[in-house]
Amino acid sequence: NKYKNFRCSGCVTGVRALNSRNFSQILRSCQYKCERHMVLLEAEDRYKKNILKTYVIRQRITLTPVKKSF
Amino acid sequence: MFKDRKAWFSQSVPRRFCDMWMSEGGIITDWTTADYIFSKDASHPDTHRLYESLDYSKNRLTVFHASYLSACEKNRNKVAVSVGHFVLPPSSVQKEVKAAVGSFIWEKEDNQST
Repeated sequence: NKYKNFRCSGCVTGVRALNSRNFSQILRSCQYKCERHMVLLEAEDRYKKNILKTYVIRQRITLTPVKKSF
Repeated sequence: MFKDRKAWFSQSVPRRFCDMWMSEGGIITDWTTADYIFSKDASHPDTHRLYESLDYSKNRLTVFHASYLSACEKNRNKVAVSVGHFVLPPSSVQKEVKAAVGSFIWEKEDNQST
């Protein structure tokens, strides 16, 4: 079925296809996202970027060796 | 319907959803080994913790709204339900999505049950 390839992966039905572990990756690799899933992904990305940023900052704080003053 | 599928449920999810999951052959585990993560409230502390996890920010975790299960129950003999319509993002993301494309499919379910 030719049209199957043009379907938004986020909208695919079928009991076993999508789960919490693969959903994000599958949606991301889909070229034909519907508007709703596109908007969701973009908003999630902004949120995730912020979370990662705080991770990096937290790591920098714990990993930077403290300079001892003589 | 959910034979051998592993799920984790937030404390925000009513007990009957967990019971239904198990009665349909599903298994309940902790969130690190579950294939399905269900919640009913993005701001519940146990769910919020997931949004701050590295798994979530590295795209290895998606939270679904538990009303997916009631949708499955209703559609048992009809067309299969897409779990992708029941994504439950963090509250701030919900606001952005709603402003751009309107309400989530599970909001209707929430209002019906209350």
